[in-house]
Amino acid sequence: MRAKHAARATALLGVFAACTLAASMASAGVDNDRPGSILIFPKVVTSATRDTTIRISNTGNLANQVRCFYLNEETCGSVDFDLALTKQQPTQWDASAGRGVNLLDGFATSGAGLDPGLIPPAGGDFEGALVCVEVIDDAPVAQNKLKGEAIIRDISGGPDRNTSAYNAIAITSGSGASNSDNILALDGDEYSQCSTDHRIDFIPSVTPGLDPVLGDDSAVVTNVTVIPCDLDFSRRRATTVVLNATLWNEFEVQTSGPDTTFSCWASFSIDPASLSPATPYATVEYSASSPVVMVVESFHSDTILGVSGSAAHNVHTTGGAASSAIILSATP
Amino acid sequence: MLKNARLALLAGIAGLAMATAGTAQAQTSSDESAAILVWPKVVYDSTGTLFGSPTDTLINLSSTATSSLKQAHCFLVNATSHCSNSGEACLTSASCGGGVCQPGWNEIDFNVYITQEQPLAWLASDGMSFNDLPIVGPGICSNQPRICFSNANCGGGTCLIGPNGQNNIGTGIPPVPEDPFIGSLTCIQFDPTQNPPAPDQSPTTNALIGEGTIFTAAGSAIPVDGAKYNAVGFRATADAGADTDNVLQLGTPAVGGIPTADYTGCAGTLIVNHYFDGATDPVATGANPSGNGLTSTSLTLVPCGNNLLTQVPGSVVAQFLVFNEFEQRFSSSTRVDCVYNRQISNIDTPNNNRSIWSTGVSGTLTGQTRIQGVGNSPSGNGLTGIATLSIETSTASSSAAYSLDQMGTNAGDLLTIP
Amino acid sequence: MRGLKRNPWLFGLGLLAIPVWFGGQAQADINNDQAGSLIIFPKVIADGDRDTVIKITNKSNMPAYAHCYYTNALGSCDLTGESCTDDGDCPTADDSCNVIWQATNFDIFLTAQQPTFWRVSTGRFGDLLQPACEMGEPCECDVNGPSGALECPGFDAGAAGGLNSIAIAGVGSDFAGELRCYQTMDDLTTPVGQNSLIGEAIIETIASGQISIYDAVHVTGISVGTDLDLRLDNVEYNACPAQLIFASHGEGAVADIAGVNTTFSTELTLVPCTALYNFATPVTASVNIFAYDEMELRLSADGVPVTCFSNNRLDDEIFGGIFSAALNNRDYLKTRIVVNSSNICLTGDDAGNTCTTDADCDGFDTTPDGLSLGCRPSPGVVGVAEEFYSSDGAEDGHSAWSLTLSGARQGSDVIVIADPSGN
Repeated sequence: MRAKHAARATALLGVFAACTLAASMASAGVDNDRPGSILIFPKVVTSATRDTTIRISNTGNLANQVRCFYLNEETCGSVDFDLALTKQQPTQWDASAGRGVNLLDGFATSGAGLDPGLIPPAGGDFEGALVCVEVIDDAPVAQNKLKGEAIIRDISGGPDRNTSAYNAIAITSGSGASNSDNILALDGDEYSQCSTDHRIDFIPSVTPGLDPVLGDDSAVVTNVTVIPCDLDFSRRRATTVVLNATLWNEFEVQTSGPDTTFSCWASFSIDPASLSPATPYATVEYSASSPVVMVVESFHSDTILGVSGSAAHNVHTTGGAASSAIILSATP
Repeated sequence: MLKNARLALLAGIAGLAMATAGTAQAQTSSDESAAILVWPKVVYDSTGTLFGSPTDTLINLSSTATSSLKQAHCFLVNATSHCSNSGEACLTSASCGGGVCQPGWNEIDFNVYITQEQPLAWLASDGMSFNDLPIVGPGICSNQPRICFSNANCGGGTCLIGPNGQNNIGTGIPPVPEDPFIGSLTCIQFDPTQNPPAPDQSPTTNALIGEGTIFTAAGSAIPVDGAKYNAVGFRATADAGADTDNVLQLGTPAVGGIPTADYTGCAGTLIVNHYFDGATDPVATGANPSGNGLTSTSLTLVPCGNNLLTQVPGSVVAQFLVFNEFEQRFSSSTRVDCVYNRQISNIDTPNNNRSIWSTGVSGTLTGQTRIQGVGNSPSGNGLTGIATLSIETSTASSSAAYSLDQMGTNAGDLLTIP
Repeated sequence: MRGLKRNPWLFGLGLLAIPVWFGGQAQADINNDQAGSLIIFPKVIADGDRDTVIKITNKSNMPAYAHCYYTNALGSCDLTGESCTDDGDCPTADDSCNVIWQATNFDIFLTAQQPTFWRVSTGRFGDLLQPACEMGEPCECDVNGPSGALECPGFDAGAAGGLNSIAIAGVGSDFAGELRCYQTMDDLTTPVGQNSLIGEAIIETIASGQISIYDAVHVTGISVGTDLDLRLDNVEYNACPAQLIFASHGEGAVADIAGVNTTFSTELTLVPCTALYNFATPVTASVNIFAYDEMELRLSADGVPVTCFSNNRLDDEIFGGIFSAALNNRDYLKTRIVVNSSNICLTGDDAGNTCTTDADCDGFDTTPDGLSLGCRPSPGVVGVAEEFYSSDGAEDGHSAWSLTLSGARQGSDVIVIADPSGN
């Protein structure tokens, strides 16, 4: 009887926590479920076993020009390229291969359709992000007509089914007007502000960090990818950010740390070591020293069979809207 | 003695004249975009008949215009000489078996439509046919997302061929007219929006840059050797008095300054810094010998002015002052008709070893040669060109081309086009 | 009669010659083909595989003095000791390149109209007794036994060395960097705007004898002051360009050339216009590189750093693959190198950071002549390109050419000369 009550209490606590979480989601104009003028894909990876397919759509009834930047985490440098999307046009490409321009691509091939422009390959060993900005003749303009998704696929051909998808984070125009210069002020006036506070629910990767479906002999690792909203593509200068972690277990016990310091781009697994005690489910709130965007990917593996599956999802923001800037490189 | 003194005085005066001619800065350049480009040396020899090894030239022409289509109206000048007895191509009469190596001069012209920011390149031997043009279609209709090849496909819209609606249609670049071939190429930026197209003196002029690379199949040791040079550029002045007729005024005449220059002028003096022929490559000596290569330099000169309408080539007398590392000075002169291409130690004599440009006569490894054009040519006396250094070892040869330095401004040349 | 003895004609020339170039003429842009008071050789290689011959001519009828700086950007990998200019040159990913950017200086003196040359690795020995070349005999330089320097006929240009001493010191075989010479008064220190110097460099691959030639970058002196801060601001000296433009093949492009299946590769060398010899501090410029293909399609690499000496093939990862010919058959490209125009802290703890005023730059330096090296326009760059041709996988020939210069920078570069008094 006591166990039954405890289980119900726990379940109710979980529901209450979920409701609380839902209520506290601040909508700062930085969203993943509505079009924007700046799209950020925080996690773009290519390797021998994985590739990322980028999809971007123009949701407007006029042609749209886009300037995109691949951010390489190794150098914090970027390569940029241009897209031209017709009205309502969707497009896609694989990050490893890029996409050429060939109006005579065969029907139903990967290059079929109106090629949006020349897209360079990120190469076979890339980790970083993609940022795309609406422009007119290279001058930034806030029309809020872009939406995007990233699909991180397993290409090894093995038994793993590590295919994840997340929505690009879309930053909308602010309350004021855009001055069309190369400094995109994410200050609420020119463009919406990013947030410093983000909340992630996760299954801790410690015993009993078990996949609730797979049960015993399973493991779950939750990976967070984060980039600062302060980006300077003109100078390859990395912004250093400190992420302070505050964790809660299912008993509402709050712990903190470890903190993460990174510059330019980071991808790390949530460390639940501070959870005390560890529970099958937990939540972490990251407070950053400057505004960031994040995406999460969790890997669930069967340790007996040696196979895994993955899923990515976007992250809730919980406030802390603050100003930052994205500086584009000047065009000739 | 008196004669020597007089000669010394005259030489001093000549030197002073050369030294002071055109104290205003020269204005043609090899490192800026321009409205007229000259490639002084375009060569092709598929079998090595003239040049000893198969040779070809890659012509690069690029637009620096950021927003508009430009037209380059080009003139390919064929200056290949032929033996009077056999008609074979020749460099000197010595190869004509009793005949005379007669210089030739004729030109063909063609158009290149080059889109904004576009680079183009073609081999002199191949030219560029329609099939080689990068942007000729299909395009996209302006009024609907539909592939098209002409406006007729667009139901009232315009067929936009090319990312910015510009295309290369209308371009046709012929291959050089004979093999072997020696000549030069001049391209003039035209404004295609005018009817008929005319030399471009609009605010978006001076949008062409170019290079030439002379490739030689140098043998099994070094299969491909390249010598790359920047085309010589004349910038349009776009002054109020500059006109767009077919007489292109290069530089301002010294007397009265009339008519107004349409384009910048040729240099008053060209300066070549070179090894004297026969010098041992200094990299061959010392700790890391590379096979005792011997150096030679060839000089290519073309008159700045030409009458392409009446097919009268420019003809200029080139005066040379040669300085060695002991500050000693020699002089010589020669006539430059159309295209002058010669090893420097053959400028003043067929006997290289006795030339003032040979190490045995000049006494040092390097020298400075100053070149000034004189004469009564109606097209003017300006000269431009390039130099090519070659180093021969026992197993291979290598060459490199470089621009001539410039000083002063020539007193106005005329380029008359059809 | 031709020979070593003085030619009386020269006396005529000397008597009548009038120094007409003293003070120079104003000119809008730096260039590659007209004399200057400051000449820059962006690519000087002497690494055992390649060597460079520097050729300088005094084109005036007055003697010319110049003070020159070599800057060596060749370092060594910490783990393997291999030569390198940046971390990417080291064979293992966890290795790093230790570069010191060592600058050495020397003086040269040229008589009226004198051309001169020297081989960079060996230098040149001062020996007036070296006989002139004679007809029918090889004309070559001898090697000075103790020093390895070349003894060549002609007036030796090295001003510091007396007879039978090193006129211009060699740099050895571990050098990759640049050379700059600025024209001076006869004290070999005070700048002067005489605009007499013309230069070229010949880079030779020692094993094959293949050569490339490029013209030095010539900077015209306009109104040159006597302090040791050379301002490239279109007031004292011409300013560096706002953009550099060049056309090249896509990296890895293949074409049939003169019957040979030839693969093209291009190496781009860039150096900042600003140099701080007094502070021995490497300067970093930042450029954005835009590559257009024949289809007008553009890819760009952003914020590419140029620290002291940047010498990379176009397939280097620093360019992000934008030059690859494999992408969409980009056989031929035109590239614009656009200098970043924002202000940065040139020296101090915040070096490289953007700034608004000197107050944003902690600990910035000031030159002995009082020029602030705090918040200044981002440095400009100059450079040269070299194309390599290979067949059957082996590199054969190569050829260098000058970059097209476009526009004048809004900002000002500065070359701070080391004060010989040690201040």
